[in-house]
Amino acid sequence: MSRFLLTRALGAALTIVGASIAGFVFMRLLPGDPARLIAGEHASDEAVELQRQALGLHEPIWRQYLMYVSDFVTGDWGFSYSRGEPVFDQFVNALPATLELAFVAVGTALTASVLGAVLATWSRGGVVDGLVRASSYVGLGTAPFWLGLLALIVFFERLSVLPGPEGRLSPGVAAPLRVTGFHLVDALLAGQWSTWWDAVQHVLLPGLTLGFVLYAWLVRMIRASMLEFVREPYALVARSKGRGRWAVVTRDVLPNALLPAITASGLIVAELLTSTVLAETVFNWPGVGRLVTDAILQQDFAVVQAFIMLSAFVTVTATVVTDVLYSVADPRVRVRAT
Amino acid sequence: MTDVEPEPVLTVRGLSTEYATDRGQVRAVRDVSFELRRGERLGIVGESGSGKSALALSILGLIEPPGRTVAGEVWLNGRDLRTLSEARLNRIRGKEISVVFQDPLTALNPVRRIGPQLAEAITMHQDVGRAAAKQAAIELLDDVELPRPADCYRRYPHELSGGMRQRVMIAVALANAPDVLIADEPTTALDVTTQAQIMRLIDKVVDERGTAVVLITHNMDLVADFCDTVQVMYAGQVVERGRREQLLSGSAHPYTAALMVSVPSLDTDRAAPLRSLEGLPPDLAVEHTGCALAPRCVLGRERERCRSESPAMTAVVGDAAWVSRCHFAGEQHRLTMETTP
Repeated sequence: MSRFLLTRALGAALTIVGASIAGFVFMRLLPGDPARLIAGEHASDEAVELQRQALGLHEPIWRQYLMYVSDFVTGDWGFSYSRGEPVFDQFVNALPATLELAFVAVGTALTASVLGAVLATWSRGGVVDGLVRASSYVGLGTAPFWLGLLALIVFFERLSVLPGPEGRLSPGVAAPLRVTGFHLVDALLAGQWSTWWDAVQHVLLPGLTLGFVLYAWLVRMIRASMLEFVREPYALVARSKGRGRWAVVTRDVLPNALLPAITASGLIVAELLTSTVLAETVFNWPGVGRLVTDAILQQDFAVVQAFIMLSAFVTVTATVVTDVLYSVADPRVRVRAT
Repeated sequence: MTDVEPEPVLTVRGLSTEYATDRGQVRAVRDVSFELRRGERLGIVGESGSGKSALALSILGLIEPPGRTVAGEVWLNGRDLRTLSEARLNRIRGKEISVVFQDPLTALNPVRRIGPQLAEAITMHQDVGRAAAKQAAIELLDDVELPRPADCYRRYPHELSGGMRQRVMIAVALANAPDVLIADEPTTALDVTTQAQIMRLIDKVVDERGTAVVLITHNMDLVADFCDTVQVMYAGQVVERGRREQLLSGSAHPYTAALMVSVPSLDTDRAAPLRSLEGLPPDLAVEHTGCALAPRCVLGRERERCRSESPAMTAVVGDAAWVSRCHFAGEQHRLTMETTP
């Protein structure tokens, strides 16, 4: 098992290094001159050249890369000229916002999809199965941003039960003392119940909108593998032992069907950093997705590059964790890996 | 077997099961009736597709859609299983009647350890604690002659060979000392040496417990070694039933006779081609008139009566327990006797 972990970790590190090189080179190859952008459109060539020296852009590209890596590791992610803030600080603020959204989305999606798949398998071909399938089609066939707008119209404009697109808290409500960066956690730690409730209300619509799309995808997959496994002989054997239909689905079939779901969840988590952007835009959520799309439009190299590193890191970590989880859940993989 | 016939523990009457397919209803089990007495060993023989396995699942009430058991009674220990609720059936399955399936490689849940899969069969039906169930499970693993049973208890299915897994399945089936064990092709997926060992094991453990066995197989040799009574199925119907010696030496149905000669033995002339029944089994989605075997039958192919009139089960020679679904059972019996050395 330790050898297994070691090889996975080594592979992960190499992947991150590769991603950093690729990200660095691509950003340098893109048209657009950051020195000119910073110096201003009407600056003289001398002024631009000075700016270029200041940025280190006159150095050979491999030295630029090494400088970049050493700065990155020490927490100096560069300066974002479009927002006039260090890049690191921007991510420190935006990442918890996105993660908070992502946790709510993934949490509800996983719970709902497992429950939905179990119910669908139990009633296979019946009414409940039909409802689960229909909900999945709706989620798969609907653009998340449109769903978000629809949710806003219904719950904010018509019913007025949930807040509108105002970000993480109502205007005028102060953010709780920062400990983790998650408002839901920090408000609890500070004992500020009204702030916590405000944060819950704000995260509901974007979180559930995003979660519904994930649910649609997951429930379809889990249901499909459950319907396959429910025909396996061991399910029949369990029935012949005297186990009821429901217990066979939850205790014999589900553990097997969750194996592919573990892999899928890893992919989902890895993709969430970027896929939240539409929901973030609709709900005015100050997360990573919006930070990066803004930076791309502004040709703000430093932010985009930091994001490439970050998403490489998250993707690789999610994949390794998925692998390890999978090997814990499936005894057959454990044998092959060690 | 003793001379006094014990009372039947399992009585099946008129059992019929259909499967809905694109081409209409396929009737896999057709009006099957038989009795199984305490401690009796009944062999059910037939080629693949003859409805043997569907019959096993029908008895247990485990036919899943698109299949459906449409008629019949299954009396076990004085209750008709077909009239019981699902909850009551769950208390009977695994306790009074259990089953060993064909493929031991897929019969165990791959992500769970062997031990708990066996122990749960005990705790589901007996009011015992975890520790007692574990102890009983390890004793069962010892009973089915698995080496180092306590070690086996902690293993995952993929760590055991096919033969070992089938031993585990036998232990699962016998965990609650059921009255009836249905063994559905229990050795088909195993190699020949393992087959013999598994059959010896089944022989031993059912003997110790007095369990009645329904052995479903296409292998005539197994039946000859193991069973008291034999029932031959063709196209979902029972075509002949009798004591083992009666069917093996003097079959009174052309299908049974054909099955017998298709099995090669050491005495078979190896230069001669193996004899097999010509043609294919009938399409079960279509209703037939006459005998289901008629188009393939050596006796009946040319006879008008076989083509038009469906034969009933009739006693062969005096013995009411020996029945054949053939218009010319007597003729076939004489024919078999002449040709069998």
